[in-house]
Amino acid sequence: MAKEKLIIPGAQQTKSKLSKYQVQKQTKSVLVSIFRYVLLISVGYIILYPLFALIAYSIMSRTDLLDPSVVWISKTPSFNNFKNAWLGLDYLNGLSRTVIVGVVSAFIEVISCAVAAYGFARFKFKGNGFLFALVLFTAIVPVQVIAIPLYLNFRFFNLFGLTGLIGGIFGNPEFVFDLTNTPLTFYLPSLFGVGLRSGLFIFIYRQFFLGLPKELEEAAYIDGAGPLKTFLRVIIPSSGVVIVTVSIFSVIWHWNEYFLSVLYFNDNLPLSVSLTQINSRLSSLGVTFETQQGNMAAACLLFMLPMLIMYIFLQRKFIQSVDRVGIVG
Amino acid sequence: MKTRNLAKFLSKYFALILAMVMLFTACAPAGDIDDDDEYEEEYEEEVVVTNPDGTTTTVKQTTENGGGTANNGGSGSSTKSTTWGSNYIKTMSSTVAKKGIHVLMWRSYSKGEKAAVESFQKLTGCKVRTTVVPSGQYGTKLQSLIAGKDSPDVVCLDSDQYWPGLAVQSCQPLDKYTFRLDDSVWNKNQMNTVTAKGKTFGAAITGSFINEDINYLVYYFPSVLKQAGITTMPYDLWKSGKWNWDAAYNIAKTFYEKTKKTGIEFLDRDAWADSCGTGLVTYDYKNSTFTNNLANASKKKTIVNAWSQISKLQSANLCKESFDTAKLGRGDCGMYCSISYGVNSENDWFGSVSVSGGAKSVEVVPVPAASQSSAYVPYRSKTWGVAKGAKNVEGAAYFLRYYLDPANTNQENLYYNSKCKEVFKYITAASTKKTFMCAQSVVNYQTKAKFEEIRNKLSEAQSSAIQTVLDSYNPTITSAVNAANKLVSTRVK
Amino acid sequence: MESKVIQIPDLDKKRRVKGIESKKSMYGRMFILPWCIGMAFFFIIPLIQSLIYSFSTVIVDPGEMSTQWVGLDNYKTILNEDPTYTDNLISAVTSFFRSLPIVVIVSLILAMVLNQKFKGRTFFRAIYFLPVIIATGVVMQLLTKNLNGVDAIITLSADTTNTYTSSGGGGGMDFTTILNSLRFPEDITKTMSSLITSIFNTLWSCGIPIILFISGLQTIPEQLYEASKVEGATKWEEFWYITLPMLAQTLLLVIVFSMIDLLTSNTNPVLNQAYQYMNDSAVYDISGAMLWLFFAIVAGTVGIVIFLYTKLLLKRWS
Repeated sequence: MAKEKLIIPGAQQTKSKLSKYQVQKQTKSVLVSIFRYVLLISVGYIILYPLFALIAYSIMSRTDLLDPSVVWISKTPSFNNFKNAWLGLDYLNGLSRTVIVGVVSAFIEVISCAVAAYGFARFKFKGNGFLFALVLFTAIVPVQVIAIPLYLNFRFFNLFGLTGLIGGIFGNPEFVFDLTNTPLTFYLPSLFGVGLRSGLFIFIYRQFFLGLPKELEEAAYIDGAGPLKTFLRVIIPSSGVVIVTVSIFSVIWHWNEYFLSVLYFNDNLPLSVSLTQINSRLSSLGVTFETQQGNMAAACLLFMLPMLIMYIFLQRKFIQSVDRVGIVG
Repeated sequence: MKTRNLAKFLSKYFALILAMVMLFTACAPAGDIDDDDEYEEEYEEEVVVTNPDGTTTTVKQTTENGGGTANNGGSGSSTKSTTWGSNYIKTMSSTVAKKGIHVLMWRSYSKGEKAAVESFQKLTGCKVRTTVVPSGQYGTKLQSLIAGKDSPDVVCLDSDQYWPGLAVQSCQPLDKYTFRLDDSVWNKNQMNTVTAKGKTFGAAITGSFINEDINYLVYYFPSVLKQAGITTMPYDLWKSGKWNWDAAYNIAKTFYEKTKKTGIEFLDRDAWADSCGTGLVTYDYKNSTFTNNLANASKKKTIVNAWSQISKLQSANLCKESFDTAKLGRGDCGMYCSISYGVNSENDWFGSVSVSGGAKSVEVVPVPAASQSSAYVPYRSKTWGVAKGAKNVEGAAYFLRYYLDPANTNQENLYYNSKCKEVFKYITAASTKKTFMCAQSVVNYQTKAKFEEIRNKLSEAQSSAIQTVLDSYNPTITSAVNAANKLVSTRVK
Repeated sequence: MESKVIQIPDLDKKRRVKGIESKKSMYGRMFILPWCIGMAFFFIIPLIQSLIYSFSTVIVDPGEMSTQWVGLDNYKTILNEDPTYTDNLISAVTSFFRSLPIVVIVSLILAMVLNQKFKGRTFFRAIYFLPVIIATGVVMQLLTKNLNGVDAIITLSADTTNTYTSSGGGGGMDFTTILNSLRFPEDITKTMSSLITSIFNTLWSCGIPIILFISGLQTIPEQLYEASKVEGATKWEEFWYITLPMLAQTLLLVIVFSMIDLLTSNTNPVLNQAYQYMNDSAVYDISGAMLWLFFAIVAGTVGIVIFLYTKLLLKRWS
């Protein structure tokens, strides 16, 4: 806090001697500042270490990778690794597949989780608590546990029993859809609020909705809006922050999802799956073992690039709006 | 009033009633016998018989509705044959070819393999669809495909992480007539590793790079050894019958003393010990049981003696375990004991070699033992199976016969030099003694990476302490052997 | 038909109130209806099937998973015959209890630091979220695994059974080699390496909790702090009596999130063992039993933690 000084034109500016206490206070704040920066920078270094490693490796050429004296800084930088990575990942196809399956599914999930969470937050009905505990349980159980039954569910998909009913009328009670190899395997669970990590998103939304002041909704009710209209017109617009947050989380998780993708899709695989197979793909491109690290690093960077770009664009809004309103009431 | 209440009641619980109805019908087992019948009608097994004169007849087991029969000229007496003959590719019927086959792999094809697949497609008109799945999900994917009635036809079992579990549970027994199992081209050693209760679950062909890349060998560069003052090369020692553990030890020692670099590096140290012919666990395919060899006193003695060789090397600082194939090519180690995968120049193990003579000068010898005449060639299981419920078993048989055949993958031209070729042919010959290194897979079946721990402890122990280490791990090995036996006895019907 | 005609005004009121309440509850049910349907078909049914597998012998056959009921046999097998399951279970649960408070506390501290006003604040905040993009899933696995012939780019483990050497070029990223070259005695190197590894792992999983804490901290009104300063409260008292109680809901969120994160991480030995059985050996019954036993314990733990937290702390702070 700057001390305000009266500036009298013409008068001599006296250099005020700082009292001992003030010196102490200043050194203390300088020390605190230094300590803060040291802490943040060292923690930041640890956090960014993988990114540094990736960048350092990705521009190393073949000679660098074979040279034992090269540790971080490349002597002969080249972008050859990126070319190999692009081919190895089948980047454009993989990217479009990831966007079509992952990103779309992520956005569907963002909306459906909000709907479900609003139900949990604002309405009292029997079983609210129990069902909500179930929500948390879905987030804890990893997908591998239910992978094969889930796969069979999609392979012999009977539209929740409806096709069985309808087919029974027409004489073929075993009529099923085969949904494997279609993005519907991701869209459907997301649509119903049980997509990837949906449990967590419902939880986040619910905490947020609980913290919203009731006056907003009551005003809408007085104006004669039903709950659905209220939800759309009032709640959603004021949830900007949490929607952005959940979207970012959701897109990132869908981008990284590879277990279910391998299970459901036979061909035309998303980027994450290509990345897990990058070693064997590089080998078939002719890249030898010793030089694969550079190519792998380049592949990882290419993989993360769209997410990083999205983050850079959204982070200002994200961080600042987190500033203003806060996620949790 | 009453009806309005009733309507309210119904509408309140309508959703619930509908949900229960859907739940009930959804829970009904889908994909039941009816579906099976549907498939069986179209895709039943055909038996293509090769008549002595080379013509074929197609014999079907059940009635088919529609679907052309394929008689490639000539009919004759229908005798089922158990050998392939030389013109086998032409005996493939067009019905079989039309179905196409689905191959499931956990790695992509090499150039030679790819060429084989493409020439197969050209020759037979049979489309080959390949799905590559990361190895961390290979089993899950295979299981889900089988459960979903989309079983692949050809399943790549060539990694011991999938043995014995996946091999005996997801694959169907190979039929003697479809696969002509009596043909001499099949590698009985390999196929016995996946045989239980008289049924074979995987196929392998002798001498092919694809199946035989897990025999253990010792690689070295003559120029590197010569520079270290070694006058007789291991290859010459082998040729004159003098290649054994002591000879290898001496070479490693000389190399280390001259250059201060590691004398010999290992991919898996247990290969060095298993060349004595007795590993920690043996699999007897005749009565489908695993045995813990530590229970037998004389076998235990052989094992202790074999592992003390590694101890000897380790305590003299002469050996290390390493993945790094490039070190050999830089002259940073004297010899490298690893799998025969590197003999295939397409796999480019020695792509960046800086020693004089280049990659082409690399030489190999078999793994030594106490004496050359008592040496066994250690190998791991590598076979190709046919999944349960596969739709084109016949096509799979033809494909495997063709694909695994060394002649079709340009193998003759892929050796680095004639010495490599000679040694490779020696170790894959049917007459050479071989020993199946199943201990790793059996122990790791129960506890992942446990065998690596045992191997490390054994290698790093002093010679006198090996007995103690073995005794301490005896219960682990016994428990793993029991679990493996339980698996085979309960799951192989 | 109205049977009791007495107390008409009350009945009216009850009916009216009940009407609004039941209408509200019906709307609530409507909002969660899609979720209920989804849960039932995409989660509950597969989950129950997996539960059944754990009580049977499962063989994968074309078109179905044939099961044969064996009761508790699988559970007996994993507890008695399997040599490592119980160890893995204990180590998973204890490491969970060890890591959870550390992650929460470290995130809270970092969030409080990042919440203060200083130059470069937005820059640091942006950076601290990056691990979420980098360290989740595929990229991390690729960076740290030693694959056949290709060494990991980042080797942090102090695992001495891993005696593989790294190839030339970039091998210096290995902390153990750096420490070794400093020639500390082996014990110190080992403990320091494992310490560094745990620090790295902890910080990498702090990304999201930090963001959640920051947003929670933002909601605390400045007046509270100013008022407390006037009354002469120390920083410590400020923290305990203002910050923490106001963060009650956020803390719950962070705890829940971290629990989920830790329990489903891919370094969990129980999960890895179960997956190995599932994937490599195709043994669904035993792996199912392993997972269910683990989840029973986990669900109990999570339930207890949340219950204790809500009853004890939330009540005190609200």
